[in-house]
Amino acid sequence: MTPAPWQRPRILPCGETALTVEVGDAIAPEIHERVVALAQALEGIRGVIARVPTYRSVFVEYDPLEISYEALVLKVEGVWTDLVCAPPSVSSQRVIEIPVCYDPEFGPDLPEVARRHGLTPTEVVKIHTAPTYRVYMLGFTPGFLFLGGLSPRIHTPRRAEPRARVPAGSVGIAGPQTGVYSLDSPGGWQIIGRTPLRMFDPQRQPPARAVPGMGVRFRPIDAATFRAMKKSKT
Amino acid sequence: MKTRPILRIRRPGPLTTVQDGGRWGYQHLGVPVSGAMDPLSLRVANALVSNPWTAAVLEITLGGFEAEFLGPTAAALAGTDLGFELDGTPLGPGTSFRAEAGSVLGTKGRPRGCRAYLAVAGGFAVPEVLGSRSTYLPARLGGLEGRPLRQGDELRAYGPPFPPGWGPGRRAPPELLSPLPPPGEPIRLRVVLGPQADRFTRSGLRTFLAERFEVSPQADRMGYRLEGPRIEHAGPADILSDGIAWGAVQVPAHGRPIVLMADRQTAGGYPKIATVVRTDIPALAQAMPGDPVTFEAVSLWDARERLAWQTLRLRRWAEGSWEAGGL
Repeated sequence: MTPAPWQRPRILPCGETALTVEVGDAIAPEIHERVVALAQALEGIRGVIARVPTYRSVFVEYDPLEISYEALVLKVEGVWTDLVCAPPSVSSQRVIEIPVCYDPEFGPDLPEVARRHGLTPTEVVKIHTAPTYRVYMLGFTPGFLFLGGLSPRIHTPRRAEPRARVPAGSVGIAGPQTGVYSLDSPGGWQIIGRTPLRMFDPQRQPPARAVPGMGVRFRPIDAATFRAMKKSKT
Repeated sequence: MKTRPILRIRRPGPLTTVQDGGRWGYQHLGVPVSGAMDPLSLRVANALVSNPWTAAVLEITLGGFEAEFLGPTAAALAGTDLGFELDGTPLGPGTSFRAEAGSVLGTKGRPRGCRAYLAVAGGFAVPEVLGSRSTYLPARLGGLEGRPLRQGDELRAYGPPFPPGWGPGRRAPPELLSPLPPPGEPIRLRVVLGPQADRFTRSGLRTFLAERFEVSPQADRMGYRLEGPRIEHAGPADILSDGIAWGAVQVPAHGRPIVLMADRQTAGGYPKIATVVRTDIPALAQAMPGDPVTFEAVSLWDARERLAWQTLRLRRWAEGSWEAGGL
């Protein structure tokens, strides 16, 4: 049975200025679709400051002097009922392509990931570039993509020793997740490649390349292409 | 917008950054809110120079600060008293003052408390990044080139140097000055329980609400780690990552609480036992390693009333109408 959204949302106060609306209790596209739809449907409500979709919940930050907790809960429940009665079509998922160089220079953990699963690095790349992943959330650093849909054949635990610096654009694996580092930062994911694209740029609008609910595909490129793209794009 | 030279940093102290009311509305892209750690003192400092409450100010940490004014201006300090002197004359906390070109503002002595806020008329002029001038150091966003201020930095301010009707020597009332309790007494933080209070045992909740904790040396703009008795989880100490509120008290597997502050991550996977109410954030923002802390559960409605009351109090005082007959 595939996990589905609950019949009714679970609303949890986070102090007097925020609440979390839980939609289900698993990482699954069906649940996340409801998360994204709910976050969208809560746009434009007076007093709502931020809506943050995560795996199975929407975090809503509000100004309690503009909208009361009770009024907001009623809004959320009203929106929920609308979504259940008339779910928005999900066929039009936007998919972006991210070029990734899987050479050892950029993916230092690829040999280890391959060895662990009894595969060759080429097979790992083939498996990693096959699916369309789902952007579940952004976080950790601005623009970091948490992607679901990784083949169980290459699920790999985090490194025992996190690195002090993982370069921006690094593509990694952590358990059942894959993701893209948006900025240079410390990190413990198994790094298997790197994209030349700048994943987060505060001067760009929107500053991140993807938002929750979008699809992501990885396209393998060689080191020469990586360098050429890096040079042409800042 | 027109700007004017306002301040040259001679000594920044351990950490001085440009902060404002925060970078709200980009959390879904993983961008932390940031902003002043002590939101009340930010508002008070700005109100003292007739600025919008969330204009950009300097957040000065722990003293060791000295700067020279580059032109005459209305200015104000709020937050903890770091022993500020203007050309050698003590200023006292929560006060407006007039600076001349060449006036030197410095700190002297060992503070109690942690953070002070310097506002100048018009607000400090740095580029807006994603709707805010706040500095978020880990991603080098906002502020002055995304970094802490250094010796020799020259800052500018917006607009005219003296707002109409402004006067020096105005003081904020004591209850708007982020009061720390008397030395030795714990900082009492009111909390609303949840969102994951059910991930703790009854005994874990009792420990949280009855025992005394201590601010650890690992306390920065992102969060305050507290030392103390272990808070017991009911089951595993991780959840599917969800959004994090300002003041969220997360408890990792080691059982010791971390209160998340201005530079908190947008989402995280540790259960959050409670959330510190907004009106008690300033006291924690002023806490130092070793300071004792206790938690007290209040209702969401109590927390809201406190915030509404404080906001109204601040507005009436800023308008100058409190003294003239209260609410």
